[in-house]
Amino acid sequence: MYSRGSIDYTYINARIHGLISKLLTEEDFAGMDRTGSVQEVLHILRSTRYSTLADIYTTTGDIKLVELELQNDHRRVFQDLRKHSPEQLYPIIDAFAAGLDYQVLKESIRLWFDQSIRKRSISDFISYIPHTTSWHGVTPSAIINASSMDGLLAVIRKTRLQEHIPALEEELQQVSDSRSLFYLELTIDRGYCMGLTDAAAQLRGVDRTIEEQLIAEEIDARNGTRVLRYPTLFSQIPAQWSRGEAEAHVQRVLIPGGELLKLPEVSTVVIRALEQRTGMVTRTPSPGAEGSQEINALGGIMHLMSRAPHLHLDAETIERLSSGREGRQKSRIELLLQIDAHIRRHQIERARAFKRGDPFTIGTMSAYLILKEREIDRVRSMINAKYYGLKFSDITAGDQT
Amino acid sequence: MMIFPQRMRRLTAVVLHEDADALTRKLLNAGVMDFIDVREAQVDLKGRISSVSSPSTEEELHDVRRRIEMFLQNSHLSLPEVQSLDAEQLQQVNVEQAGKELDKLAAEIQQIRDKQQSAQQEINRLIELHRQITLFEEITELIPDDSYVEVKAGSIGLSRLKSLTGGLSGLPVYLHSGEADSEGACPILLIHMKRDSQRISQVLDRMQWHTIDIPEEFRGMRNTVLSELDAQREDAQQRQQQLGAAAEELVQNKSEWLADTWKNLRMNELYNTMQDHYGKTADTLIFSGWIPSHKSEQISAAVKEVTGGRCFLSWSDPEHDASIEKQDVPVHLEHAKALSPFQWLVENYSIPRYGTIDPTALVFVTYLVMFGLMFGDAGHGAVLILAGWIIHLVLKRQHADPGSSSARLGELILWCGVSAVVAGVLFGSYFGYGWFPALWFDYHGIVSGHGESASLVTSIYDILGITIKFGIGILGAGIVMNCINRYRSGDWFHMVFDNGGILGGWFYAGGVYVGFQFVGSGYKDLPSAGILLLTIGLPALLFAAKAPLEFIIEHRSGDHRDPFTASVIMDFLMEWIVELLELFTSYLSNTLSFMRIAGLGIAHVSLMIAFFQIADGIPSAAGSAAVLILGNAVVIILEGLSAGIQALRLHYYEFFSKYFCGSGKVYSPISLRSET
Repeated sequence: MYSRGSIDYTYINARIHGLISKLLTEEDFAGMDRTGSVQEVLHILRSTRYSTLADIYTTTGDIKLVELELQNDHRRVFQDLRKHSPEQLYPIIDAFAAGLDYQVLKESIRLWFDQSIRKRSISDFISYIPHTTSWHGVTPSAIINASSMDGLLAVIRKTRLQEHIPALEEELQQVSDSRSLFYLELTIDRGYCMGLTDAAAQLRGVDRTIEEQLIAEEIDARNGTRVLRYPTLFSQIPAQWSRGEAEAHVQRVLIPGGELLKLPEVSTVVIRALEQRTGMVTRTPSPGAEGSQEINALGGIMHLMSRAPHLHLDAETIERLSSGREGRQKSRIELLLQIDAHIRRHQIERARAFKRGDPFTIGTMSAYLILKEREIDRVRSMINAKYYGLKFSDITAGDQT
Repeated sequence: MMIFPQRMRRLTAVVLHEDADALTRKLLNAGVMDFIDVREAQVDLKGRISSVSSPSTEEELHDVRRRIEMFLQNSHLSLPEVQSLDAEQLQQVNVEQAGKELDKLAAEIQQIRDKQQSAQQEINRLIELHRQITLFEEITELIPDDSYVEVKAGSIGLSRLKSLTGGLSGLPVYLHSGEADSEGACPILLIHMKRDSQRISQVLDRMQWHTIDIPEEFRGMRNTVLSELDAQREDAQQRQQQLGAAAEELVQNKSEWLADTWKNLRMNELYNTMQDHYGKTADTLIFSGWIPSHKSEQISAAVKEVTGGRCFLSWSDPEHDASIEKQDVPVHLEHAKALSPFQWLVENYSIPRYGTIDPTALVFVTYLVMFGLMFGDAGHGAVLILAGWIIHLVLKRQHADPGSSSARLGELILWCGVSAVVAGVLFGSYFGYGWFPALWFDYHGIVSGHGESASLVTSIYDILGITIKFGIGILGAGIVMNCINRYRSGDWFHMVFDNGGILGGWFYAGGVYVGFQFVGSGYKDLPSAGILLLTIGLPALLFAAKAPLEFIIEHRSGDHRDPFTASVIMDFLMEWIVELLELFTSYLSNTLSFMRIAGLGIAHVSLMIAFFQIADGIPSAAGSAAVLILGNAVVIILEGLSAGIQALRLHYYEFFSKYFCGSGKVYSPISLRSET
């Protein structure tokens, strides 16, 4: 196990510093943003590590293949790090790499859902699933081609993913009724973060402290984004919910382990709102249905978030966001995007601080993994923005969940 | 070949607004002026002169130009030659209009890309079906349960066949039709993904599909199915390639406009860059910049011609104008192309300050001599020449910038190869073999203990002696060059008292003389006391004056320093002693450092001898040859790298540290010919 001053990190960290120097700069992104088409973005990327993307697009015209190559590139980053790292780092690298597999899992289930529940054709999308991925011999094809929900559950059981993603089967079973994958995807994300936390727990000393802080940042980013993007999760809580139901809801939608939103505190806020019946809103009754009362606990949760100074959440902003009221200067969406950007920026700044820190710790590698993931996300967003003729800032916001 | 950087002159000019355009074009074509931001340089005019505005920003022009480059390069078209640019042809560019044209072109290409994408999706479907069909052994109803494929046989009316094909398009489906019977019923074999069963059944129902047992003619045709899928995929890929070619053709059709616009944009960019350096008053423009001295008359005449004499020109020479700081004067290092790798080595250390010695030409000689002494083998040198030449050819094929680091490294390797060949001929070494007699001395013979007694160099000590003498020569040259640099900059104090100055040189020369006398006497006698006093004692004593003189000079110049007290005398004494110790140890270590040349030369030979001995011990001829080939490769890579690095180290640490005045500014004129 590792302790401060481990010289085993010398080689891998020196290598990573070389890789960090090749990360795209803000000027690169600004240059891409000024272009008018996908092809121009890819041309700029020709002189970077992403040089192959331009050839793929020129040959196939297929933006999804370009995205698939980006995913493969991300996978190669983990393979390369694993190849050159001391064995003790394998668990944490694998935990980060699992994120890609979970992404494939989400996409596979989404295709199955589109095919089997929504009755949509998925033929044009199936080829963009990496068929090399496998969980105990179960490939994405097995999930996508499952004949029914029972068939899918049987396939999922073979993957043994339940060990890493508690509640996976439970959420899957609810997919048909709710006709939504929302909670299932939240569950898979939680499984990913829990995997990171477990891997960090295997480290010792300063490495463990660093890794736990970085993972807490990751969890904060995900939780914060959820609260901002899906305000109804907390603004439309059924008034008849019991204390236990409220706690279960918080457990279901947020990931434990963060600093920004601690689950017991959030539960307390929701329960208090239920008990005091504060912020009560009445849903407009639909024809044939009785109107139900709902509690809005979003303001209280945003007050919890406002303790983080980097979010710049003042009372007026909280009031506007929790009430859904539009302001004169900035629209609600702009405000959300701004806060979202603060969260991401803070995460990146923390990662950079660890990168500059002690070279004999895990900080450099973890920082690189976070920076690299962010870079790939931004490249993907940029390509999509150009393809769909959107502003990069619009699609960046959409990509950060 | 210049020993000093080119002389520069600074031009400050004032012209009328109306002449600005013609003048800018003229200066652009001349391409020799390294501009100074006149608003920063003319402190007394600050606030009274404003900047010249341009219709388009450099960023806008640059972005549009980059877009054009993208279109050209993606269509494998080369960029226009910068040599063909002529500022007189420059026209104001409408960036917005050019952008719109490019958007239009991009949209047309995008339409093609969309078609390519459709073809790709077809390919993807075929690949998926192919992958699934390869998983089972034969076309039969008995498809394994875990397969995702379903096989159907049926018949439909021949007239509906086309509709059926259309109805199934967009799905991963293989359809094969047999001969229609007399009633017009056509047997069909259909292979599709199980997940599409429901959708396919709907289509089949519409076509009045009648299910039948798989006919004999369709059985056993798995390989045919796979071949047909391959053929369909190849067909789709071919279509995709044709679409790619069509996209290229679109750009090729517009290549003339693209090239012309690119040229105009480039010229406008440089035009704006130049005008950004101008300062503007109500009626005039003022600009300033550095020009190589020998071009000043030409520029003077050009400005006068363009303005019809309505101008004010002021020339300043850094050599005569005390207000000009030397480090602000740009340095133009101009050498024959052959010296470019050695200029690169110098520039990597630092740019020599204006007015000081540019050692490139000297480094050309000394670096190669050092390398040759360390890596003296004609065969190995020939390999290096070949490697350097291959690098040159590869980079040329890739259209790499000839000034790039890779290109210069390739040239350096080639030169090192030449040096090694010459040294190898002098030492009679050809891949370690003595195929021809040595012209100077037999390095291999000496290291292996059987050198020729008739030669002047007979032992390893003689080789060490040669390298030490070579080092003394280099260090001596460094001291002389330092004195020249100090003299030219009028720094008399350091010319005398610097460690690499006159006193330091005297001390070193004395030390060398005493050292050789002592060694010459068989390590028994030192020269007489009088000679010791004259060679070492006197310069050492004179060094004692350095600290007091420095104290006086600083006091006179008003620099703050402690008042003169008794303790200051102690400081002088200590400084003197420390200075002498430092002088002695640094010169001794610098001189002995050159023994590494002999060391590496000996290591080179010893390694070859070792590989020869290993090869001799191997009974098979093939094994022996393999060892020799591998040995030579190891020696070339390992020793080549060591010799190159050590030669560089000796230059940077022993030679340049004696005299080099760095941190000069590179001369970079705004020119149409400069790389984009």
